[in-house]
Amino acid sequence: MIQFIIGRLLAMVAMTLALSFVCFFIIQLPPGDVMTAYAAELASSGDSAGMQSAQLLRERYGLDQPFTVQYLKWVRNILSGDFGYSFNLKKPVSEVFGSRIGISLLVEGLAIVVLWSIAIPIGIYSAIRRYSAGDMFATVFGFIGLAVPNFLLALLLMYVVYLLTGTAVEGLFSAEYARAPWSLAKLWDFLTHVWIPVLVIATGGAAQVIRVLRANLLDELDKPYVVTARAKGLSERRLIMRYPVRVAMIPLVATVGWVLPTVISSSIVTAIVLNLPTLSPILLRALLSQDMHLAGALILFMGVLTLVGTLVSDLLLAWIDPRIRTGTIDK
Amino acid sequence: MSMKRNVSMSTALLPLLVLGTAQAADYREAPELAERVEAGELPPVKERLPSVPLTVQAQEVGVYGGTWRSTVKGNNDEGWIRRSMGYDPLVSFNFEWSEIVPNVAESWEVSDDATVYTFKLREGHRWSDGKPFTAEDVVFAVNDVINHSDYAGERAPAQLLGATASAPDATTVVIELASPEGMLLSNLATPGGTQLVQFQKAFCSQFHADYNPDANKNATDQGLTGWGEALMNNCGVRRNLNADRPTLYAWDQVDPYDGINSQIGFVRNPYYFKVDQEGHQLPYLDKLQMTQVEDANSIVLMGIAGEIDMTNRHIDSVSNKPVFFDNQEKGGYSLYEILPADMNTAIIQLNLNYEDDGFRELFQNRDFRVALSHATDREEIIDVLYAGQGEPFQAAPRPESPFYDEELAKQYTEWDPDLANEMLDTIGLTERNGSGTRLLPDGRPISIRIDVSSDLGPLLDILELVKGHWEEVGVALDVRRSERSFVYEQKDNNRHMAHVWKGDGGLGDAQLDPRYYVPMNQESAYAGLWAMNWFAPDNAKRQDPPEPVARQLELYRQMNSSPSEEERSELFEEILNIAKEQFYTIGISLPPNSFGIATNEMGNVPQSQPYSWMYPTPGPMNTSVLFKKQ
Repeated sequence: MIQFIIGRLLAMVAMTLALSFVCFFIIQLPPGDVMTAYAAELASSGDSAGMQSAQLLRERYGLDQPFTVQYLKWVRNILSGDFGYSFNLKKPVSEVFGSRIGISLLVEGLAIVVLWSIAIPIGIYSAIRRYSAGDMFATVFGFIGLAVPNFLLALLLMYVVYLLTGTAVEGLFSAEYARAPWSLAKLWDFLTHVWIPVLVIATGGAAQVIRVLRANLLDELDKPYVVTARAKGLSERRLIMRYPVRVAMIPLVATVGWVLPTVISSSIVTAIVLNLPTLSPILLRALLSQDMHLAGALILFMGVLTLVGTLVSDLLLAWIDPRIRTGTIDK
Repeated sequence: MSMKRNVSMSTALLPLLVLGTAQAADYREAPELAERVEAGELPPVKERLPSVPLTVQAQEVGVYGGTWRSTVKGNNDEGWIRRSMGYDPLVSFNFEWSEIVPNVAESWEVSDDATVYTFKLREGHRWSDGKPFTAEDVVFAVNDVINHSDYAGERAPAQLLGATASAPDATTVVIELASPEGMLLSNLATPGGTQLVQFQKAFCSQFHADYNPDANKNATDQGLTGWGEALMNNCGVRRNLNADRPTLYAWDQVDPYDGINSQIGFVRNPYYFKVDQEGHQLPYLDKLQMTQVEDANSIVLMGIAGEIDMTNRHIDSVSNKPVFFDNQEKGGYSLYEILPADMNTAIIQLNLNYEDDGFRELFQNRDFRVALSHATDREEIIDVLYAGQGEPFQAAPRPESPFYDEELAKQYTEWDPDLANEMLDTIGLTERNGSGTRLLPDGRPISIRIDVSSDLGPLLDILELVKGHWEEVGVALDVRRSERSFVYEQKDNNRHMAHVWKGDGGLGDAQLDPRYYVPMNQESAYAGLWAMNWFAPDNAKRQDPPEPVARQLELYRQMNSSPSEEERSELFEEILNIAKEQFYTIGISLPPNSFGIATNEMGNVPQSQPYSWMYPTPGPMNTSVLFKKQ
């Protein structure tokens, strides 16, 4: 087991290195650089004098140096803890990160919790009462949530709220609470805003969980041990929850690790449309403006989260399912 | 646009000012400021205002109080900040964009040869932190910032490069130019001109290496490249990053616009130098509040919910107008009219300096461009995309402009595909390939690739229609949607075959930025290498211009150095005549009138203001007279 973990950690380091190269390369690929993007954006808002200052800054920041030089410098800085400087936002990357990561985690965490607390009971119900009206309804609801694009659902919800209440609900806080310290009133304001993104993200991902759980549970429910337990007099509820559900959950647990990277990347477009102050809009803007350090750091972060998540999933799997555990020892 | 002689102007204003001064004892101030005066935190209003404040004639005398809520999009939208509250240059444009009027400067004088400009500042004028605003601050801006090669920000207005400023006394600034500049005043009234009053020497010199030996180290410690960048970030006109920077504007920024803050707040500047006709110190509004949003649709939603007090930015498209119109009652706002200064919805520019010989020769053939112009069905574009608003138009000053030339505006705008086909045949492009596309003399199909920035919806729509029209005459238009910085990258490196943009330069900005009439800046995408003769003469790629262009550039040079407005107008008309002969670009239509939205509580909302960047709408209306009706 220990060997397994150590082996995986080493592999993760190698992967991260490879990832850093690929992501730096791709971000640099389009012609031009962050200064071009800046000058272009200014020119399109009517301000055409940005080119000279862009050129000066470009030289100063070494953006006209060859790719490998820039890459090595970047990697060296990261290893010493310096994530670089965001040209676009004029702040150190770590500051940008630190100011938004909390909210990102909070919103995503809420969304995931809501998603699972909706999807699991529905999935179990769907399997137990197969083909009933409830099952049909849950299936249809799930598929609609899956098929409708997140951003469209977000726009519709915003518009519906506007029609019903006459206010425009966007962002996570109203103007008064945006910079205020946390209080009950701010919490309530937050809840009145956050339900839209949470609902949008949850409906998007719920269908998958429902269907997988339903399919696996259906497989298990026909197995002999379930019939035996029922014959032996175990109450239906205890029986279902203790045995087949736990087995059916295994594939879902395996995917829990991948929840981590969704902290940033999930529903970028939804975050833009809803104007959420999370890391998603920052990532998009950084990519559009080729802001190398910020975009690279965020993507690297997502990559590391994915790797960590996969490792966590594997460990969880090994822990829950003895078949896998005994499999690894039996070498 | 006429510019009155300075001396006669200030003499004319003298009676008005005297009238104003007669009531000096009765200056009124906002209640919140009065409280602070009582508490001993602020000097009384008479001492906070200059001895001769600028009197603004407000349409309606307002009441104190209220907040102006608006939005900024993304983190590079400082344009809105500069337009809404950042327009208080030395001299400014008047509302109609017909003359230059005093603003921070009380009066000015120009030498006969237009090389020495003398500005008289206001006695007793102070920054928002209470320190005196003197000629030294302007001299600092001109000599130590704009003219310093290490300054990383905007070194503009370009006419001041090489100039020397001096301050014979605290309220007089003398600027000596390296060469005659007849249009300096107009340039000082554009947003670039606000730089001269942006740098308080006492505060900003801490970032300047000539005044603070640690400045460079402080900057590099923070991760910047040097003091030039630190000065730009903290004091420059862009970015608005340092909320502690003292200002002369009506409102003082409290939150830095750094892309992280989602609310950017501004509070009243107690030392603002303007009063209304009844002696109330402006501004009326207590605060400004700008919400940063990522998506233009969020702005639309906030607008129809009545949560934006006044704006026209990012929302004024033809497709949004019905949405705003329908929701007026529910949202408690109404639309107001704005006159675009743009003279065209789209200017299609074939690259006359394109590197490929075969295509370049074709593009440089005037008859080819005329034929394509005749092949375009402008009426269809106007009906389909603009609901019938507008008329066929080429690259020419708008009908309202004193330089309007009907022939220049309307030549070759009749839709006549038969004539186009005939002309193309006459040029010699008689061979076609299997899909009906005509062939170059060397056998290649005439397929013109045009890159369009994918976030400019109207331009894409126009080109889709034009593509169909030109297909009828055998010319293939390959419309490529690309990301904006890519499009710019191509254009700035002269790799583009064709470029399209809206038509700037229809009203007062015609002489300031005649990019489509004469190739002179980076936006003259139809002849970038010839334009380098004006804006980048040392660039290795620069090409010698043909005779007509060279003549235009010479006229343009004369126009810029002439101190006489009449002479400048004559020279400009000559430039336009040559442009008419040369027919550089293909225009589409005159843009329809635009609109803005304002809540019903907002008073003194401007009606029929011109809309441009050079005249940064709504700035020249004096946004300090906006108020919230109680």
